This record gives sequence, C-alpha cells and structure tokens, in this order.
Amino acid sequence: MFYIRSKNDPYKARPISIRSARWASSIALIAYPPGAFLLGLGTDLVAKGAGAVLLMASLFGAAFLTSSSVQRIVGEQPQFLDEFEMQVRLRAMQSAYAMFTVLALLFVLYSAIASDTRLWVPRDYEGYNGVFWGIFLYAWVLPSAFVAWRMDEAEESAGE
Amino acid sequence: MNNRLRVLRAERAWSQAELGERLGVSRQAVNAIETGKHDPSLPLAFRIARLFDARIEEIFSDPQS
Repeated sequence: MFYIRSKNDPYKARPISIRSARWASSIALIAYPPGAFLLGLGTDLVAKGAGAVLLMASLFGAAFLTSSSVQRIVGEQPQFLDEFEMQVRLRAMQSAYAMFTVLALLFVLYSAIASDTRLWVPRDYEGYNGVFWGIFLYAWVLPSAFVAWRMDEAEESAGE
Repeated sequence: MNNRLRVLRAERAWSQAELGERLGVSRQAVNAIETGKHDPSLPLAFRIARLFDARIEEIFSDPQS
C-alpha cells in the first residue's frame, strides 16, 4: 500500500469526498485490464490509442487516491491512526485479501484453460509486464476501494 | 452499545471535530461512536469519561441490561 504523507501535518491527509474516492478507485480497477489488453494486443492505432487512454485513466484514478484521506486509512503507519481507523483498515484489508485471492485463483484457472486453447496468456516480457503492473495496481487500490465503498456518505458531513 | 455522547457533546456545544481533537481521535471516530457503529476501547472510554467528568456507565450502557 502506498500513501504519501503531508510534510506539514502527518495526521492530516488531502480530504476527498466519498463519491470521488469511489469514482477514482472504480476507474483505476475497471479501466486497467481492457487498457492493458488493447495497448498490448491491439493491432491498429485506434485500439492502441484507446488502450493508452484507458491505462492513463486507471493511473490517474490511482494517483488521485495516493495522498488522500481514504488512502491514508489503508496506507498510513498504524501509530498515526486511531482505533476506529484501524478497525476500518482491518475490515478493508480482510475484504481486499479475499477478493485478491479470488482474482488470483481465477487468473490461474484462466491460464490453465488458455494454454490449452488459443486464448491469450502472457508469454513474453511485454505480457508479463502488463500482468505485473496489474497485480501491483490491484494490491494498491483494492483496499482503498473497499474503504470508499463501505464508508457512509451521510457520515462524511455529519456533526460539523 | 448505547451512549450519551451526542447529548454530552451538545451540552458543551462542541463539534465532532472538536471533541475528536480533545480525545485524540478523528471526527469520523466520534461520529461512529455516537451512531453506535463503533464501540470504543476501554482506554478511550476512560478518556471520554474523564473529559466529561462522569463515570463510564453514566455515558455508556448495555442495551440488553
């Protein structure tokens, strides 16, 4: 998990709305796979261009979260979080771990089937590079996505 | 767990952020305790009781008792 802490105040993060955190994490997770496929396997310029746009959108989504209040919960060192934030982190990590395991198993299953058929499997550096950065991105963004989607929008402005 | 935190805070006209600052927790933590979504740890419950000059059982109550 990555979190860029503010130099001025380590206890404060860039506040973002729950809605924008949900958008950013969803775009980061959904846009990467088709973006990587189109960029890597696209035969014409249009397909490659569309792949590049999707990849950029995915990276912008992940970058938007990096120093945010949502990413702080999953990426900050434990001593800088209070007990409620630690509880939110724990739940998000548990769910992200389960989801990550399911995705990894599905990928292995797909690879087993694909190697016997004519479906795509990573065979060269470029293919493995795409898979590597995809795993990296999902490990980075999945916990924040769970935090963002579980947080109640009504809580955001309550009690001000 | 039921609690009177919102009432006690309102009596002092503190915002959730202000109470959070006094307790050393985030505003979201205060909100979660007030709405019953998070039960505070014993050390935090003692800090809350000390801040409001009350006993823990005067602030928190078991809904089953």
